[in-house]
Amino acid sequence: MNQNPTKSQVKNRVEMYETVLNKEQEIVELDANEAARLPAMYQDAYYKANRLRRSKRVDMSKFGYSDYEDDMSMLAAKIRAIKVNVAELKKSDKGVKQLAEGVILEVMIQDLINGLKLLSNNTRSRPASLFDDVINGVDILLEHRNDDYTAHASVSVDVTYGATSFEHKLALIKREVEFGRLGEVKYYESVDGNTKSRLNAVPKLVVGIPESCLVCILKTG
Amino acid sequence: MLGLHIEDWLNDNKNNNLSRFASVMVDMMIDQCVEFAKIGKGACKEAYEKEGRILKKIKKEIRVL
Repeated sequence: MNQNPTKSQVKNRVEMYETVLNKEQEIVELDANEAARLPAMYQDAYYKANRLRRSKRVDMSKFGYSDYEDDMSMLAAKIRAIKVNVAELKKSDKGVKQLAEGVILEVMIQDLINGLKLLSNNTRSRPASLFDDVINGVDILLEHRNDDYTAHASVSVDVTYGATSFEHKLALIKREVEFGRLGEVKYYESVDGNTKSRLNAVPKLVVGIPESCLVCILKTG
Repeated sequence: MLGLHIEDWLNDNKNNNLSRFASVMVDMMIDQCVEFAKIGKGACKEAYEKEGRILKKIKKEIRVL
């Protein structure tokens, strides 16, 4: 960690981060016309979820890593690569709905864990940084904390539509486990915001929620 | 809170649904920990065993809403 970056270095880092973040938002987020194609009950939820997701992102420019610029380049390249897939998805109403469902589910699970403390008082969740989301496949980081220990697990969440990417994600983790590899969270910020560090040995898990379950919660809400 | 009126829902005699949702979610993660601990070795095995133990404890503490 570089403890004393100059003002211009800090400014440069912030600008790089904002450029990448804006690119991701342009590509992945739905614009007003696309959001208008969502079923009515999804629209409000999507806007709220997306706003929250954006505001809670871990600010990567504050970590001071020496390879930060490399990370930004890698991230920009990966975002350019996923642009094609996302553009394809956005062509159909079903694809637009899938994109919205992913955002809603991710934020909803965090909301249940942090707001309602559904997983006990000792477990909180943090959204992953853009880098860990796009490069390491982490959506949410669980933080278990009590008097004896602090432990973390990275979670990827998925709305499932039958035989799905859920199975694919599980298979990928299984293969990594067979090679003895655990997950990495490069830009980790603790729930209280006091710790910024890199986590190197994080168990990876997947939560798959059927679309019907998400719809049920939204309908009731 | 996200503002999806989940709390209203919870106060509407359907409270068990959300606890059940949490329970299913934790079960799903526990199953994965068990499976990955079986095939993993060394630090990898230990990490999944530890996470599995924590999640099992959480399962017992899931709030009945």
